[in-house]
Amino acid sequence: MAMQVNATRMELLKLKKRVNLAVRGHKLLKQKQDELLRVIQEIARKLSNMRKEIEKEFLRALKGFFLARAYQDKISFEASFLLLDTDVDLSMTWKKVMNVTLPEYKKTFKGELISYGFANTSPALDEALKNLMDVFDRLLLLAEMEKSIALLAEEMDRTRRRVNALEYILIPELKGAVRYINMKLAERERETNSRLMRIKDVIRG
Amino acid sequence: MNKFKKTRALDTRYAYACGVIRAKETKLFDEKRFERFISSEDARELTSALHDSDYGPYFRNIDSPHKYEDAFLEARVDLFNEIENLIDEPKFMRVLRGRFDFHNLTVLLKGKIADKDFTPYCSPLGSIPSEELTEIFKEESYNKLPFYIQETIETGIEAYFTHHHNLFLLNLSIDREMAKFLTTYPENDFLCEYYKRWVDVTNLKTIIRLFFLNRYQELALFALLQGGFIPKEEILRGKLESVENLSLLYHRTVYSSLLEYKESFSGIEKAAESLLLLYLRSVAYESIGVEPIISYLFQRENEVRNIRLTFIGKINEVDDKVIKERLIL
Repeated sequence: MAMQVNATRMELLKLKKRVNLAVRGHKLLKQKQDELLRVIQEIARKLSNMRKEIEKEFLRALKGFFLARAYQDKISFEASFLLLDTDVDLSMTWKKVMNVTLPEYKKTFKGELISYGFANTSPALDEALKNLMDVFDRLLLLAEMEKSIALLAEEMDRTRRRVNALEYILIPELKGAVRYINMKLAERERETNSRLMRIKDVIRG
Repeated sequence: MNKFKKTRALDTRYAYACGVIRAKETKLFDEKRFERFISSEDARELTSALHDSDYGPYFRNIDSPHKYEDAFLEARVDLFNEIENLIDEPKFMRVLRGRFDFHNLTVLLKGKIADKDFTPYCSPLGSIPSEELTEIFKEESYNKLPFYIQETIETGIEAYFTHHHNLFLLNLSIDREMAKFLTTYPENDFLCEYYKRWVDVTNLKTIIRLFFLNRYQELALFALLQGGFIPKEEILRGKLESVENLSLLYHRTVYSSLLEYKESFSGIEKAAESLLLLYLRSVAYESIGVEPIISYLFQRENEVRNIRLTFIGKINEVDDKVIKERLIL
């Protein structure tokens, strides 16, 4: 829909300023969009292999844990983990990338990973627990990256919508309005000129 | 140390029991049977395959293959009761059920520390019924317990409180007391030697585990068990600095096969259990005596472990080759 404007020189000046601002904004948003795309592509490249690797590692660690569990009966196995000297805390901090708030997960581990006796448990259990702990760190990193990529993609989508709105709606409309006022002013000038010429003819005649 | 030392005199008291066991022994699963189990499509098919074995009655009672532990527990309770009826000697059974008594003790001590009821984690296989043990712990009337258990409670509590409420040391101290009991209490040479070998392999495994955790120097004194053929003091005197030293020190003993697997923990477990099985099977040709009965009990326990492994493998879609590798046959 065309803009409703008063065809005045003041309005023209105002509109020209708005056009300049919109073009500058469009350029900046376009740059932001490109940078977001670059960051997303970079993370996505890392993620595509990482997810597969971690899934494989996690599955392997989990299977190792289940197989290690086979050396003990259920009661004895569960009793091994009844009271633990372990305190695991998961905290989340935030960082800003291109004005997007991204999470950073941090695990703090206190105490002993292994606090069961050795006589009735299998060495494979120690190995499986350690593997699971290692995979857990990588899982956190994966979660952090996947959440980041989702938030960045959301921001990218928002930026794209803004760029498109500027590029295809606001800037053409503003330019249209400027053109309209220019034409209107020129027409008014021509009208004045012809009126003056007519008055001149009447006076001479 | 002789590989299969003959220290036993023929004991005719167990002639009938031996006959019963010899008949049952033939039903123990061999490698081919396990291969058939492993080749099952899934856990449900494995359950069906077990229906025509001694485990059939137990597996018919469960509605899902995921409840295999219930079936095994029931089968093991019956096995221990059967052995108890055959041997009919409380002192003997106290040793055979000893490991479960120490397990229950650990559970109840932890419950006492946490002020929680951990009775569901008690094993029904102990020589002292878990209800009775729970009641004793509730009343704190520990003097009703056998002397070795009282001593274990004291040592465990002392280890826990003198080391800043360290649960790891509590567990390790109970393990130490258990090893002391298992290697000194049995009046049977075969059983005593079995447990001495068990202590040795457990110690070797513990050393490898402590090196894996980078805590050998710190914990060796607490974690190593006493009573094996290789004295704890000798190991400590060795001042081991790496697992390689261990191989050099013990490669000429019967435990050398265990030390070959120091990189793979499942391999170590398999080698350790295979060594003990080899010893148990050394009585295969003894016609009378209590030894074949003990051997049968431990072999059945191993069989249950192997079937459990197969179940876990099938439920978690583990490769058949991996399951087969881990079986202790």
